[in-house]
Amino acid sequence: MGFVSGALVPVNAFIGALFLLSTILLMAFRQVEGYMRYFIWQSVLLVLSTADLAVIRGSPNLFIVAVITLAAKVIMIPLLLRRVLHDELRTRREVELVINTQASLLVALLLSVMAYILVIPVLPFAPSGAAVNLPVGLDVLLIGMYTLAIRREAVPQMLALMAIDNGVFYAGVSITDSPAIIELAAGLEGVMVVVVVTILARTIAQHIGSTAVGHMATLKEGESR
Amino acid sequence: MPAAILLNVLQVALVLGLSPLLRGVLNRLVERLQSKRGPVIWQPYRDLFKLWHKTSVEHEGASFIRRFAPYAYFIAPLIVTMLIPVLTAFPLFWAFMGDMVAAGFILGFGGFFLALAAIDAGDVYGAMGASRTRMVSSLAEPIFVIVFFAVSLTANSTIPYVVTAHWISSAGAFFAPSHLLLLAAFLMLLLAETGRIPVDNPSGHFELAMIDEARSLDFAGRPLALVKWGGYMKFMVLGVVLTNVLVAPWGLLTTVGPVPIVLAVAVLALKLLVLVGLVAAIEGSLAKLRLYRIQEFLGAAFVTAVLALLVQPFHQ
Repeated sequence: MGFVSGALVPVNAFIGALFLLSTILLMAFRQVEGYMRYFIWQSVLLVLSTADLAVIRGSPNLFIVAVITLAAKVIMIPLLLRRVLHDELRTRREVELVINTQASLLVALLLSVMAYILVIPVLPFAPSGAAVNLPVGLDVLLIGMYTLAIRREAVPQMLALMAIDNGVFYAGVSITDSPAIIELAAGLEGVMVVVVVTILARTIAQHIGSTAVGHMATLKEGESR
Repeated sequence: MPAAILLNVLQVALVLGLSPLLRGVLNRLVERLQSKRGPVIWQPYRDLFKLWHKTSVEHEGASFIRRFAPYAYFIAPLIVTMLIPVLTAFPLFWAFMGDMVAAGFILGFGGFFLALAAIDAGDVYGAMGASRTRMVSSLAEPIFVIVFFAVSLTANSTIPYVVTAHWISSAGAFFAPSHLLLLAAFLMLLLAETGRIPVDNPSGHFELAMIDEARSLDFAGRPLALVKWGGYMKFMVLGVVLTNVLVAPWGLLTTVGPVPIVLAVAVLALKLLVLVGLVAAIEGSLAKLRLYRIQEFLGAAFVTAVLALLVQPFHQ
């Protein structure tokens, strides 16, 4: 390993810490605008980490993956969300959470401990220079799933889904040097999911006046709005 | 030996002399960010001078604690100054007398007496402020302990001088994820402990919403000057711990001489200026949290600190 890539390994670990932190902030925030901000941060960090690994390994494929991630997650998805959803939806504060933030933070902590313990057996086989990606990726996946479970609004739920996707990618780029076409498909798929969910959320908002999907478990028959 | 004595005196004098200036710069910057002109940066000195020459009135029936507390609050940061590397990279006399946990407890000692004194005055607002500072401190305590657990796990020591030397021992040590996470946790701790936004509004004048300031409501004259000065020094000392011990140990003295000393002071000023800019930016972009949401803020800091502890063994 050369000098440059030698210095890039700790940088990758550093990015990993920021990635984890942005996910926890994504979970702890209450405003849709805040989720969006931390999702963008998280995606930028994913791009940086991928580019870093690309330099370490000298792999052009990973560079293409980084560019695709940049285009899809940092630029297109936030742009789409801002365009399609009106301000009222974006700036709203989620008052009602299924589980309050303090308890959620502790759950996130437990999930992190769990992720690290689960990863211990495979760490010896982890690729050199990217050992940080496995536990952090798994952790982000778990916290993302938890976030998805405790949100009651459509847009934050979708951002949590995208965060899960980021976590999987983050762990994925460290293990495989996958062909760029697969990543292209995955990136586009993310954008498609966002398009579908935003249109759905907009329609729901138009019909019901809210995107609080947590309240849609009961039928309201014959009620006119 | 004489050089070491001189340096020790210089460190203490620097914290004594420059801490009001640091607060003045911070106040000015915060006001500037809000498109106001703001007070001149020398204003804290003028305040201290004015208060120093006023007579002090004391409550009837107040106990000796009222007289003792301002001194305790004033002295605590000065003792901590002797434990931490303000200017020098090599340890001075007191360096091995206490570690960073001791520094935290000494600062806590000052805060404890000030809270007692605020209750001793028998005033409602003072007592309320005192109990709130205790709430914030009790929530901050576990974060403090975990941060230093993480530090000792990383650097194998909590003596500030040893920790400082550890971060620059290799690129891997400096860019370790746990380093970053514990920095974030410590910054949040610093904001909470020195009563800055988002935990407390230092420029607020509404007694019901006060946390940190309420403790000094019943002091006047010289004791008030001591309490204020102690607060300035506490901020500066925590800032030095953050910048010199935890973030950027560069620019500390390795050889003794007039030129290196001036250079070291300049570098320290620059680092503190960056910190003050960061704090001002946070104050400009966040609002004060409701009292019951402070737990969420400190909860986030706690999780960050525990993560620092957790990720440490995996990335060596």
